[in-house]
Amino acid sequence: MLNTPTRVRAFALFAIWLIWEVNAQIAWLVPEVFTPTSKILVGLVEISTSKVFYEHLFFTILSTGVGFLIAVVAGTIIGIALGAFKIFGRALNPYIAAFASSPKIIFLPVVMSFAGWGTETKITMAFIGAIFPILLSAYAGMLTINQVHIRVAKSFNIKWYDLVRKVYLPSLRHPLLVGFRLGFGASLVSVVLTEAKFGESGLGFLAMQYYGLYAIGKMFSVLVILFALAIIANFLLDRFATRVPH
Amino acid sequence: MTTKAPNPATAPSKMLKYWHRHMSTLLGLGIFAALLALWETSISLGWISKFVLTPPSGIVKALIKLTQNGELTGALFTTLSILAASLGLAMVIGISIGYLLYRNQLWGKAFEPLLGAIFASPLPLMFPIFLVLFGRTFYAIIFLATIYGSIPIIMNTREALLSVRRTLIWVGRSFRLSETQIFWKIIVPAAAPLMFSGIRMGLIYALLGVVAFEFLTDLGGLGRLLSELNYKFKIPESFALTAATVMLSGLVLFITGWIERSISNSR
Repeated sequence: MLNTPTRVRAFALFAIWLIWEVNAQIAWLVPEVFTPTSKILVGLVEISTSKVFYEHLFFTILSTGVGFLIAVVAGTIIGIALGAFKIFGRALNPYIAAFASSPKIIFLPVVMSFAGWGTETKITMAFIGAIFPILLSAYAGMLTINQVHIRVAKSFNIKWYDLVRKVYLPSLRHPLLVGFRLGFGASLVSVVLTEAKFGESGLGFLAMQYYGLYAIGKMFSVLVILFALAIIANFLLDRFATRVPH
Repeated sequence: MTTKAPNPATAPSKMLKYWHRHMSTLLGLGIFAALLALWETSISLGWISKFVLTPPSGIVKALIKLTQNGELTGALFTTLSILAASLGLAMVIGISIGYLLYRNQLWGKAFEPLLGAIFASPLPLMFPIFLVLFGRTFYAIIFLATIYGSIPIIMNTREALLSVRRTLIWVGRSFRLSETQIFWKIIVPAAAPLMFSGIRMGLIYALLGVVAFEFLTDLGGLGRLLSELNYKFKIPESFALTAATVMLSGLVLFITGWIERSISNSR
């Protein structure tokens, strides 16, 4: 019966859900965490019919979206510039890698010192979360562009903006889309963790409020919605990527 | 005995080679120094308020102060201890599961995409669940960082073992080696570079997880110290600790990259 990877995967997920549900119903192991699925679904319905939830959702989506879009533009431009001027790319790559491998949440106090406690801080954190995957993907993509294409374009005395528009950007479509997918996830995490730590609005703040009130079912519901947001964004970007011709 | 006169034509060529080899490093250092100088000058001239952005000289002074009063070293010790525990657990779990998924092809094909999906999902958002599970204790941080770090180790271990060339295994069998000898003397050394890449990624992600959750939960370590300094509005010290954490991440990246290159070059 379990002779294909898909069936094994489906069975494993079903088994995990079954263990979770049985444990939740008999309240055997850590009943505070293993909330029954029905309670999570009830929590989802309660939350989604509450006006306050949509206000928090709006702030999270606004901060993530604006920060991400700024990072898309900035990351693409910087990545292309570092790839076009390879000496600068090689020179700055170690410093960018050091910042990229740091936990972005540590920049929150620095950001708050000049952006304050409001939405500007969350947008800045979303930008910081997203820019490194996008920049590094654009830079890595630039290094793989066929140099013959660039030499042929330059032999036609192409202007630099046409070189970017007609050679670089078409060659970078797939690396950039990979960077955008990684960047969106990173920006959402940065915003939600910022809201959880210092926020007064947003889904991260809401999750911590429910945690503080020990309303674990509702807390799970908020986390399910956050994961759903990330999955939907990834799905949309993936669909966009498959429609882009090679 | 005749001595050969130095050929003036080759001397500049050697210097040129040295310059070309280290040009990017020197350029990087130069750009970094120029940015620091611009930062310091902007604050000295009053273009930017020093209460908003601490100058590099202020960051260095704060770093020295934090080191002298023992706060930085104590917090660093706590973070590195939690990181060591998380990485140790991640390696045991990651290599074991990676090996199991390599031995059982069906499980490997079934669970690999699932692991990739979990890794790509916003795992840090699960931290309230671990706080409920383990309470506000270091176990919450260790457990979450272990999960975060073990996934790349699992995936790279399986990939590394699968990528060993069959020719090497056939040569081992032609010398009548047992399966255990083939595994330890042929497969593991051949898979070591890629396995180490996974361990390196696991270490970086575990460090990310440890510092981030220390910051969020105020439990201990560099993250907690940063959170505390921020609450007390000690801006220069906050900047100093942020810089120290970035340097720690950079150092881990550099050292593990050097080890990875050494392992690859020694084959």
